[in-house]
Amino acid sequence: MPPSVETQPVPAPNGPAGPVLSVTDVHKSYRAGLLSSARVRAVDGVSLELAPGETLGIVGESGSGKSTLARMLVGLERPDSGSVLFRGRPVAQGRGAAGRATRRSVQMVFQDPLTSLNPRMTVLDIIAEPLDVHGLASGRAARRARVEELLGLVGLAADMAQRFPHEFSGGQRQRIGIARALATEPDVLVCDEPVSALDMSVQAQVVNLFADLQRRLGVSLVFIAHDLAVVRHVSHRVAVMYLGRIAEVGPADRVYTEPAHPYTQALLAAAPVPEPAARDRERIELKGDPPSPLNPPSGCPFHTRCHLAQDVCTTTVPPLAGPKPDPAGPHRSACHFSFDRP
Amino acid sequence: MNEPVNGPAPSDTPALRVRDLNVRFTTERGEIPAVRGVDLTVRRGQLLALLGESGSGKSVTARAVMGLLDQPNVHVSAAAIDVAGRELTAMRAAERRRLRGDAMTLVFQDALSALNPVLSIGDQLGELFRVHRGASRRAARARAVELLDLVGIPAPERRVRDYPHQFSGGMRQRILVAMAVALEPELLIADEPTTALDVTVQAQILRLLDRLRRELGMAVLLITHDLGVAAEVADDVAVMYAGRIVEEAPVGRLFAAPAHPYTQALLGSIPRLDGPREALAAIEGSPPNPARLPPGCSFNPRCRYATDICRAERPLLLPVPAALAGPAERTRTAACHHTEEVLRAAVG
Ligand SMILES: Nc1ncnc2c1ncn2[C@@H]1O[C@H](COP(=O)(O)OP(=O)(O)OP(=O)(O)O)[C@@H](O)[C@H]1O
Ligand SMILES: Nc1ncnc2c1ncn2[C@@H]1O[C@H](COP(=O)(O)OP(=O)(O)OP(=O)(O)O)[C@@H](O)[C@H]1O
Ligand SMILES: [Mg+2]
Ligand SMILES: [Mg+2]
Repeated sequence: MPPSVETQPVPAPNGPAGPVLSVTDVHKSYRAGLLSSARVRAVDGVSLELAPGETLGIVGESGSGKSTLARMLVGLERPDSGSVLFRGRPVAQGRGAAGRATRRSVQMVFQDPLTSLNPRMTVLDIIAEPLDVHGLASGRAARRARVEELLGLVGLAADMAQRFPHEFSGGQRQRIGIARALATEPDVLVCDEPVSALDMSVQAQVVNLFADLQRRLGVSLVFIAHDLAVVRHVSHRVAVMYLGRIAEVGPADRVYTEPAHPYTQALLAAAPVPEPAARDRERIELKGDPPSPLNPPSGCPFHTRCHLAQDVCTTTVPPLAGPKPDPAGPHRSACHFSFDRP
Repeated sequence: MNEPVNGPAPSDTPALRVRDLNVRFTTERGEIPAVRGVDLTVRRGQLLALLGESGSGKSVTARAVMGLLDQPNVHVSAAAIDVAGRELTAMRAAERRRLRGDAMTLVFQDALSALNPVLSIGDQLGELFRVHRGASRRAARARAVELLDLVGIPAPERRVRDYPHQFSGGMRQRILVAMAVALEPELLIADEPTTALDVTVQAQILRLLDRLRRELGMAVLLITHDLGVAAEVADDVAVMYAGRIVEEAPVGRLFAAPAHPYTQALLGSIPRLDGPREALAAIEGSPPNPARLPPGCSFNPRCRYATDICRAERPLLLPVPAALAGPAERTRTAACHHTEEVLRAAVG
């Protein structure tokens, strides 16, 4: 079945508008345990930008820092150093009206719709909560009308407002979470594994919903997932994280068809392919297990598992850079041997 | 019924044969027919993937086979549940318990909660050999080391003394697989063994299962809702919808030309790694409510092939006409009034 025209995602954004989000060299570490002085470097120097109307996909192994980065993007967590700016204003700080307006503009959708929705609140109150917090609806009728409008936006019937979360299926609960995130008319939605808990057919509905919302509302999306195929379907650009850093970033087509970092190559090779005939394809296997983030390897964090590793990789951290003529270009990789660098 | 629990079965006896399995839950909201008339056969060395929507009855089927549904509000009935030639339906609970962990084992999704946090891995693996095989402490320890090696844990002599929290998620899942294959069961049921894992670890576990069934001749029933996973390792695929098997086929044939509209829609909704950015073909409508199924075919409200007969008569799971089934050594079955049309859609 060819996809119908109106569910086609928006084309990649172009135009002169500056980024909605700019992240510059953010770091975040946590104490490893209650009694430990060791620290886990969850995010270890990440910079990126998000354009208006753009979807940036983020993939990477479990524990690579994706959720930590997401929490910093929406201001739920403050970076130890570095900055996260929404249209030039820091998201984590700022009391008063300007600070609130910034936070309102960047909203988060969580993985598990059941644990992130209060079971004792009706759908009406769940979705209206951000309206109340930000004083966006005056009067019961207006509040109710706005909630019904939001329910319509995510494809749920208005009469569902009086029900409780447990009365919904997984896919419907995720729609409720998205409706709540949209209540404040954000410019940016940060979605942390928004479809990982859903089965394939429901996942497809929710993925299409995101594309549709982007087309109609022009929101920018940060889409975190461990399913590489889903990420490809929704993203204009993709960033691959490894041990708290970006290993590779670039236009989705380039990253998937010409992955420059050996880690990206291994990830793509490991992804299951829904085609029995492809079983015997050649694969790059990842050696060993992920290193402990408490004690990351010296030099390139990936060198302990990399089939290309040389001496330089154990001593020198490779910069995130593009091919020679354009090191700051759209496709960049943090590997000494990407793009035929010597 | 007095043969040794682990006695060899004649090689032509399937490792698992289930006939007309029904499971009903009694709840405050009424009766929930979670599994309805399921037939399954898994041969030695075969890997059968059981696919289906969330709530379609995959896990309940697995638990019924394992005899893990002995609860007051559950009613299980079956014409036959044979594991390597031993009929379980007639067996007493204690006898079945003895088969569990020995002739048949189950691997769950959540490795951390399935392992005992206060026992070393070596003690947990060794206990299996001591309890089921009467092995000495030393012999049991040696077998534990061998098993860790088998599932690819580096430095097994040293790691055998470690506790579960000292291993990564992927290693813990491999250790669970080691425990499940320790006594060389005839049948291994793996229920979403890789769902919580990232792709590199998932690939490790799938390769391991594939190798073990080849090397040990185990039958594997792999439950998943990930079509990519099924495509990677399954020989055959059975698809469940609303408590019933609606299609079964060799994996290549199923992916090339599904015979049931639900399977077809499911295949259409897979995002592809090499696909462009475009809308996915979602299945319209909501998953069925098992307490209130429509008359006729359960899929009919969401089916684009549905006609009057689909709303009136339940289609039986029947062999697909040989002329349409494609070049398959084994028979294909499908439960649909419009199978021929569905198969032609894939070809044309
Ligand atoms: N609040 C916290 N306290 C201590 N350590 C933390 C905390 N949050 C995250 N970490 C650690 O930081 C690292 C990055 O975790 P994060 O949750 O960001 O990873 P992730 O990429 O989202 O992983 P997953 O794919 O499993 O969700 C991990 O080693 C994690 O254990
Ligand atoms: N203990 C129980 N009491 C009542 N209903 C139950 C119970 N266990 C399962 N069910 C119901 O039986 C049906 C089948 O559930 P089952 O867990 O087998 O689904 P599944 O196919 O494994 O789904 P998933 O992919 O989400 O794991 C569901 O409708 C479920 O709600
Ligand atoms: Mg996370
Ligand atoms: Mg299940």
